[in-house]
Amino acid sequence: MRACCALILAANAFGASKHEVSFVKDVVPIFTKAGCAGSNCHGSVRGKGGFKLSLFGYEPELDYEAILKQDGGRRTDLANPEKSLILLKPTFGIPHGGGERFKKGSLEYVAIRDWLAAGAKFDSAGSPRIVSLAVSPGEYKLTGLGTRKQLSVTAHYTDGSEEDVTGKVQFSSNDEAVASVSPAGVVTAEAAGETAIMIRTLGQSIAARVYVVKDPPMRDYPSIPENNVVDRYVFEKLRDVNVIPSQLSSDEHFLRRAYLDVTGVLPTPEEAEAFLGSNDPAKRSALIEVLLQRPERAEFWATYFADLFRLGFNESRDKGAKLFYNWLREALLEDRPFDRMVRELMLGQGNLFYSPTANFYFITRKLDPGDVATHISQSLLGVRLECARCHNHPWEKWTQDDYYGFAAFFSRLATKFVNAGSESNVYLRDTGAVIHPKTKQPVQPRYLTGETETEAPGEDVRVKLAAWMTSPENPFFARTIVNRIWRRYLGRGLVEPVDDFRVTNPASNQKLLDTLAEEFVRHGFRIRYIERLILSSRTYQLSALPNETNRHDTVNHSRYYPKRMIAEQLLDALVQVSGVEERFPGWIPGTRAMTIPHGSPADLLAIFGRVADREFIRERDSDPNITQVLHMINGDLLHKKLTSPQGNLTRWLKEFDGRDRELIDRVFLAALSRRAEPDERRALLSQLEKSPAERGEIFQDLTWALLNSREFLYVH
Amino acid sequence: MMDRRAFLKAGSLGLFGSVTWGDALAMRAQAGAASKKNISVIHVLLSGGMSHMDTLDMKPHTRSAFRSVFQPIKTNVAGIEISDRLPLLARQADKYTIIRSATHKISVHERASYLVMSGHEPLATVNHPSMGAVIGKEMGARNELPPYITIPSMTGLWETAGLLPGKYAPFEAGDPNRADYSVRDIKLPMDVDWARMERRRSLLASVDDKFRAYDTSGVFETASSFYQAAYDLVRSPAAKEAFAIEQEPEAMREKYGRTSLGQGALLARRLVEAGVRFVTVSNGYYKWDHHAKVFENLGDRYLPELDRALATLLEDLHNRGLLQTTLVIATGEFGRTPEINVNAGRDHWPNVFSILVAGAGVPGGQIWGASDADGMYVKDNPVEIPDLVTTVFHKVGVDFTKEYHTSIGRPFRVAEGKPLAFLGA
Repeated sequence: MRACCALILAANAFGASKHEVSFVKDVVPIFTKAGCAGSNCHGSVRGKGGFKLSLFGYEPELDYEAILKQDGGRRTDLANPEKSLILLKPTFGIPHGGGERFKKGSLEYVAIRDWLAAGAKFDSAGSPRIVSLAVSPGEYKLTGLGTRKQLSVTAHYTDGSEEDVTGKVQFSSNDEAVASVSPAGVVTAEAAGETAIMIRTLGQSIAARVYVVKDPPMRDYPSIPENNVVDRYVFEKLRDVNVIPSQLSSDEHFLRRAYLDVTGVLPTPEEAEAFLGSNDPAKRSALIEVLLQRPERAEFWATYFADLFRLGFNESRDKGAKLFYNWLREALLEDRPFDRMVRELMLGQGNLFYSPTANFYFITRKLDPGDVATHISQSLLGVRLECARCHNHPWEKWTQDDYYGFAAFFSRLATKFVNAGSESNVYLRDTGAVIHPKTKQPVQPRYLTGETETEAPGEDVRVKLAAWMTSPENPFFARTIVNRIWRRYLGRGLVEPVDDFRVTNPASNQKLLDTLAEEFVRHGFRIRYIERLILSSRTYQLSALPNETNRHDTVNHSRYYPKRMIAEQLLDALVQVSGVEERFPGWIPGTRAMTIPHGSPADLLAIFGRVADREFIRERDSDPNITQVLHMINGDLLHKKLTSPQGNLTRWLKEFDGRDRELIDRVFLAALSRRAEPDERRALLSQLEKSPAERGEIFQDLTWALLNSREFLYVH
Repeated sequence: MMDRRAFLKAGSLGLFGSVTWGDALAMRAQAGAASKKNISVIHVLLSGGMSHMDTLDMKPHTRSAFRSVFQPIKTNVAGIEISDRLPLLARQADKYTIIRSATHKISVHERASYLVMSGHEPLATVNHPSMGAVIGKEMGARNELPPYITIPSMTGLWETAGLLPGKYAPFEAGDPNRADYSVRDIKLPMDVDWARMERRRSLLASVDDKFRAYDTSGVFETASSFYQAAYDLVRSPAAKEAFAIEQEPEAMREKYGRTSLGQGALLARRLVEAGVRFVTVSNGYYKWDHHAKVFENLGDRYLPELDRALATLLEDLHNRGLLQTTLVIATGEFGRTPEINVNAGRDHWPNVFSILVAGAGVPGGQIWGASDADGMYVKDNPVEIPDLVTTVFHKVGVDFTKEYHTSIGRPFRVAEGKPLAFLGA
């Protein structure tokens, strides 16, 4: 009886029983669900075994061609449907590289057979097409391993109708180890954590977010003090998934972390002593205020934006890059509202040596509107449009119309490049057009929300685009920048990667993201406001040391996630600790690495990943590698700094003569912003006692070890 | 394909003078190669783009506005002629194939270099790894030496690991033509001995042990493995030996030429001998970009340097029996315009250019493909870069049909071409 019900239900799923089988609605989804149209099979760019389907069925017309017409129609036999390759192959009636995908007599089989028997027609013109999918529940918590939950999926069609398509779509889990999903859409809890279940059919996709917790809510969950709205949403989520946040960080850790995260520089031993020695209960918020006003903060941010805007490979070279870098630094220093800043950038034009924001558009001498569109949408709106240059995005809504429409805002933008010299310009030509590769027609400017725009003669249509982008209602703009700020401080975006917002990449904490965006808009698009909100939160000030409940948390910020210093931070820190400056050719003595807008004037910067890429927006590589390690343990740079007669260590050895205990603390404070722990101090003192003649070497070796330690290299 | 008995026979033949010692060694190497793929690659990277019309594809009868001031000369293979500025290379023509019909469509350095090093056209959505990175990942290191080394240093981002982890990026060997050459950071600083190094390590270990509790992602452990690898490299006699170019006889160093390219090629041979899988040798970023005074540049410096370096490399590899297991490729990212510009230079020209390939089963004494009468476009048998890169993977033993995925799941094949049969694939 039960089997019978299931059969009827499923039969309806592929439309086999109640009405004529539709190619688009019934047949195409089978190939996605059975895995045939996936990217590693017939859905790949090259197809497989000479047979190519559109990826996840996003172009049924092409699939119809491939199945019915290509290769002389060898895949179908309308007179004898059961002899069709399109049935024999997936049922493994004859050898098939992909193995058996469904059984003979299965509902999939019957649907395809009946469609073939009825003449294998393509749906009539104007027949309803899918417009969107909805999944219920969209977010769900599974309590207890092995717990299950059925998802149900509804499709909405162009004629306004809807249909339960749960049986037709393909389900897949982003992380099978956390939650698996059956072909019928039943999710099973496998391990504590969170993931998304992707649902795909006919080029549409959607995701359901799933949390798995092992145990029912803890009865003895501790009460965690909340400093502000950030904590409210972070801790709400943590409580929901039975994770207890780490303890509040020590003053030493907070001090070092805040300095490095806000300003990019280490606290000096004197600054460290002052902060650690203070009994003021409000000393953390006082420090945050001081750091937020420091000029180094603006330089650190300017370097961040210089990476983001690909300044490292700006062909205008030194002068234009410096000008642009200084513009960024000044904007950050005065905390210019970010919407205004972006409007200024968007309208950039003119001479590269005199007009700072012209350099925003001057990445390569040949300006390509598509490249500009991709860059702006990805860096400032968190939308990766690039896929849609060559094909409609396989599992997002972005089409070639979106890509070329967005590019059309920049159709008149051009550059004049004269030997990297003072004659180089970014300007607007009188006319210009972006041509759609399919229609071969000029494309009208089109916003990512779908509305089109017209450009009146003599008008700079970028003004309208900038207004649209920075409008408080824009769904992308504020979320993208607050997410980027969040990631800079907390090591992971609420949406990660930060330039890839999409339905199938849901935020780890949507309420928090929305709230930060609202706060940002309400407080005049001020970056510093959001920084203060983050820095003041208990979330930011949590220890990096995990506890039993949060050891495996990598997304919910139940502790501070350590991150490696970037190249400039590291080099500046080595200079500060050693007291031996680094000279950069062409820059005045005392220049900090952080303030050099581009290029790689020192080995260490290049070795530790100071690359910005001309072609692409790319995260810096934070993976360690052997060249870096060799350079640190064995290289010239550190060796010279440790042994220089002008260095701090040489000076301190004299200054603290006979006071080794204090000298040890001094070295620890300088490098790690903490004093030596008793066991560390004891071990060193006994070595010093044993070999008094090697005092200098021992302190060199200690400094070497501290500067090579993970505790030094990581912000923690 | 030669079994052990055939090798012994060949060896004994050698005693009677009909097979040279080098040939015999080559056969032995080949006998080994037949059972297990053990191919290494040396890429002589002519960064900036070498002019084909002045080097490997002479056009003495083209119009004067195009014609090289250099003359063609005969080689040791009848019917093959190359530039008179490459006389040593002319005597090795029986060891290589010249492709005269290489072609692609990218005329800017960065993007073209990316294509040549990775086998893929640049795509904003995929950061493709270079060949050496893929080979390092798929084949692994043979010993404590890094599998992928570049001499003297990366010419640009096209030599990186792309989307692969940083550990697959090339190790930079530095310029072996410097008088005091040593690999950066591989020797201990002058006044630090191993006893002190041990003290440093133990101090470091005690700080790191305390801090380990903060790591839940294993990233510190990964870093530690690099520290271990770095110590191994610093302590490894084999590594020191491989980089110790000063141990080469003076005559051999002279023969390669006392230039960055020459000593680089010699170091490359030492590294391949020591087990490195992929070595790039260049004389620096865009050095062959001769937009002005192309004949002076090539004639006075670049071609004599290349001639000595490459011809000696081929001869030396052959004599040591290594040519059968070493694939040598000499190419830049494109050729240069047939038409000579107002500055007596030649500009970028990807439409047709020449590539020299030798070793690892590549036939010697072969010309493949042809450009048209003026060296402008391909006349016969066009060769696409993705096919060349696929051939490299195929020879080395990398499954070139393997797919990698970007962070958002976009798939791409390691190489998108087909192995080229004329290169013995």
